[in-house]
Amino acid sequence: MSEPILNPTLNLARQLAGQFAIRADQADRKGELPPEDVRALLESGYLTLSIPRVYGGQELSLRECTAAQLELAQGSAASALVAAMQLHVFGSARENRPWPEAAFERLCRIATDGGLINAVASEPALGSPSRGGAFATTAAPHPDGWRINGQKTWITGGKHLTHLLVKLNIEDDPAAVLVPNHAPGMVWIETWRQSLSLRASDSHDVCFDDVIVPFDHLLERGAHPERPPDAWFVILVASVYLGAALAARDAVIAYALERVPTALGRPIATLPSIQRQIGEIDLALQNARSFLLEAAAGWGGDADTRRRWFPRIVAAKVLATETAASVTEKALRIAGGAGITHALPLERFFRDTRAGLMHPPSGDAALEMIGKYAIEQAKGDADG
Amino acid sequence: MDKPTPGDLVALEALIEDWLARAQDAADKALNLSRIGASRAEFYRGQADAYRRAAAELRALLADESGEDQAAPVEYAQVSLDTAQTVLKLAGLSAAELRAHPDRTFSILFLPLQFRSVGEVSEMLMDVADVDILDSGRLLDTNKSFVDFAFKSPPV
Repeated sequence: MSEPILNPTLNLARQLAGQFAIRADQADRKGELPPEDVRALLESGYLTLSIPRVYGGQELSLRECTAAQLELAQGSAASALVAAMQLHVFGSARENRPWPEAAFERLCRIATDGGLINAVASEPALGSPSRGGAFATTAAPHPDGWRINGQKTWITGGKHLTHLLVKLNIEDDPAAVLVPNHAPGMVWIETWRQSLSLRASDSHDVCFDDVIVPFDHLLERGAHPERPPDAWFVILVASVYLGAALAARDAVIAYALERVPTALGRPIATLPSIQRQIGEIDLALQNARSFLLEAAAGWGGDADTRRRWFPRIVAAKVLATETAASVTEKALRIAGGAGITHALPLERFFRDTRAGLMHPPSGDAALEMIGKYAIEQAKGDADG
Repeated sequence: MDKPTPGDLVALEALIEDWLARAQDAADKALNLSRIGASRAEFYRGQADAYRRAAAELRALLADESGEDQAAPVEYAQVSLDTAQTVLKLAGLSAAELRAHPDRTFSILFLPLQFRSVGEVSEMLMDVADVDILDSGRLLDTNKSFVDFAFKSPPV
């Protein structure tokens, strides 16, 4: 179940995954993103995959980035999530060009020069903005620039980020402002270390207390309902959880080959019941992986085309994250008692994949979107 | 950091050997293509590289501690801190902090608000003075951008 072997991007992702894997357990226990993982992502150029070629990146398609992320996440889902954030910021901006071109170029150059960037939207009271609501974080004019106040939550990458694209309100307008990390007045609050999932992703909170940024750091202001939804975030995040589930499959197969119970006298992998359970895992993963890549490959075209394809993107995300959650649980059952200890990485994969169920679009909102589109299609068929 | 004791050094040497053994094990697995497949081989190559790199970095750290393998320092031009500050102003760079080091090199730490890449900063500096850019990047503790440089010849 893998991509062509001669693809240099996939080979890079696999090598990085190998590097991340040796640090992932300790990083999870410490609840810290390994600086070595960040360094490897930056030095290898992996974080430039979605940046336009003209601005120094590699301009890979959503499908190519998804395939790479599926490999990368097999080493560490937490570090792959950090990478997913930067890939989606530039992939989405490349398609939609939401900012003045000069600002976009400058941001791309920062990234290709070693920057680590994440878009920052969620807030403690608001939660994820995917279900609507105004930001409590604000920017107001000040003689020296924009003065920012507020608190943001779930900021993957945390202190390792070089810049934050902060979604906030200016008066009643939604807006986005670029804030260099560690600007005076920024205070990081370590809220994430003991979370259930992705403990090593440093997805902490940050407070902005009269943080001043120059006026030219304002990237956009005003609502843009005409813009199509963002498939990059949805698909790349889903690939993180499915990648973790692929790693769980490999780990439980390795365990089944090694584990020889005294009474059995041979590896449990020889038992038909174990083979059947691994077969169920493999079948589910092949299905979810194929659908995710197919949905990513179909993304493109004009705004209307993308809007029509988006329910398929959501469906692929739901299938990927639900599959990841269920197969990592099955892997635990196969391994038995050993699976819930630190002796195997299975409990980490199980915990990490729970977060996929919460990442938007999720739950009822996602299913309603998929169902609504299916009904509209059926109505169109009947009318036509 | 306290100097490592002889016992620490023995333990750290053992750790290096352990990492190198793991690197070899991963490299051996990567060669076994017929069993694991070519794509999985890349994963093990990555593991082998990571263990080798960690071992090399720890070994270099221990060598630094014991004063081994010290290359002869490069002689750069002697430039005062005030003059270096003037050069920065000429380059159009506002540095939050400029540090002079005994080996005639300098470190500049840039304001977090500065909306410039390290590459741009390096170019601006080289436009106004005959300098070597020795290192650049971000500090792990604060993420502030830094550029280490030295004057190859005194600024005019």
